[in-house]
Amino acid sequence: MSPLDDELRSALDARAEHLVPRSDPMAGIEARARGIQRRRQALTSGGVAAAVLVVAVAVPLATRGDDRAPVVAVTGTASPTVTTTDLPTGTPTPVSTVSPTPTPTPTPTPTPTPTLASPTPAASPTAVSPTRPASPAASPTAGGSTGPTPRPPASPTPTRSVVPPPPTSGGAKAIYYVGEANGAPRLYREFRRVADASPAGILRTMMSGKPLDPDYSSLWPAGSSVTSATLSGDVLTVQLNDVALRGSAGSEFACLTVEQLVWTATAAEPRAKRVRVVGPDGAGVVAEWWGVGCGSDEPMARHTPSYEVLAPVQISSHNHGDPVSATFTLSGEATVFEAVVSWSVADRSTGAVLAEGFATASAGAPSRGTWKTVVTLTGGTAGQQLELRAWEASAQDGSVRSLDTKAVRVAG
Amino acid sequence: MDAEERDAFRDYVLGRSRALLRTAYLITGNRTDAEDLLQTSLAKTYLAWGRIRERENVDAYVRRVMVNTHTSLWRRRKVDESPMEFVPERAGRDATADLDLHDALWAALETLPKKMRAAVVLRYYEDLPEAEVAQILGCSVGTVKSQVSRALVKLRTNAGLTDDPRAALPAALTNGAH
Repeated sequence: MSPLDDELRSALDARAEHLVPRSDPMAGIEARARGIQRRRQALTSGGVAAAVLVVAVAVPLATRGDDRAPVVAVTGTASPTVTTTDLPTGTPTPVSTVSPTPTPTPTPTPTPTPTLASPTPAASPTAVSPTRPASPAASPTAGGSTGPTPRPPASPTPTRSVVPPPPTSGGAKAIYYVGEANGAPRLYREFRRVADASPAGILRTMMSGKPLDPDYSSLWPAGSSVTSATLSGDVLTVQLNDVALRGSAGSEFACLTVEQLVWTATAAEPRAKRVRVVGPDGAGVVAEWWGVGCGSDEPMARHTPSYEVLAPVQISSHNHGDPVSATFTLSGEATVFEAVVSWSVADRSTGAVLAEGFATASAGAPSRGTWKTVVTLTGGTAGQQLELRAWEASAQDGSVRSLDTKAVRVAG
Repeated sequence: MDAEERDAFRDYVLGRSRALLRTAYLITGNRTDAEDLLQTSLAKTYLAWGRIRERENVDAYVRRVMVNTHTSLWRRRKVDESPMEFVPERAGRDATADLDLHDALWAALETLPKKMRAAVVLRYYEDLPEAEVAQILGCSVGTVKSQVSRALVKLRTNAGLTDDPRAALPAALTNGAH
């Protein structure tokens, strides 16, 4: 036993001995447990789709051709190493019909978890839809592939006409929110209509409003606001009110809110390459941000590499609650291995998968690419509640990673 | 979770929070992260409570969750920040030599990779046997030994304890077990 061992013991003891926990941690623990359980359930229901997809993965990759999204031009608000776009996508691409995929697979029961008080999300994995034909020929197919498995006979033609694109595709502004991907805090983006489309107005909406997607959250204290946003050269100086400086979150979440502000501000003001965040007295506030400290008070560019900040997979074409037509374009962005994004559309109450496939992003990790695919639903009924899912299948075991979901409904 | 199970969990939390928070603090290096990490770990334990409370060493389970959660979490990269900028405030102007050494060791601890740091905390603060540390970290006993050995070398070097260079080499290294 060296003297260093003893010194180390005594140093650690001395450091920790005065630490006392909060008096009643139960409420916080239970709230967080509900969040974790909600995410796990989302992953489990996504996992069914992944399990079904395993067969499709064995199909030669060339058959993905129909899903291959054209490379979408990117705009230049990002720093040089980041490929991203804050413009809503929505241009149609050639249609690739996706056959309906009944999922007769019973959902594997997750590890027994205690029942929580909170309502469970609609995406909970349950039984197979009774309305779907139990065709023995049904097999998972992706992107109109003609793999070794037989396809069901001619799919019924969708009868409903195409509805106008979702309201996200015009005049909407990019607002970033905090969410989680694979257990880590990450930024997700929504396109939102804002009454005041100035940078300050957009940032105020970001701080005061809630994200539409319940998987994302806003960590700003109630009453947070932007006093002004002033462009000088390529630096946008954003002045916050006192309330906004008094947030509280673990350091990772706290510092991600600074990135949230920077990414949203630079999307709102494309001429701005850097953002300086100041308090009511004009002094920089990032170094002491929310009692944690998130770097220096110098103007900040968007963090690079972007994958340390942005969610690996993002659905951009739809917001939570949007209507979808029988045929629609599903698109987004991704930083994923070999640029392959898995997607599916499932009935939210039965878990039955109505369509699924792969899309190829315009770039693979570590670059951020855009991806797009055209989805044709077969047998959807007006008002039906669906879930759009996009994720990365783990290169190791095919498991669902980086899942992003949007609850939508069939228009009618 | 029924009322009885919830009570048992609550009792566990109230009884063990202090010790667990201290471990979390030593692993993360600051109070905010420690509370965050502990809350997440206890929430995961809560969800698994029915499964583990009768069958497992709950402390070991929580420690395992804590280390795994911490090592998998995204850490914000601090641009242009050298490890020495983490040096905490001194305990006091009149600090004794002991306190200075503690500070130096603490600062040096900040330079260790997460998993190595966790190994040191579990081994020297929790005083857990190597086998148990290995179980918590999900690695072999040999890996624990080499991680701890390398940690001690780094700590000694980074804490500036160069007065006795021979003592800087733990037995494991001088035996060629590296």
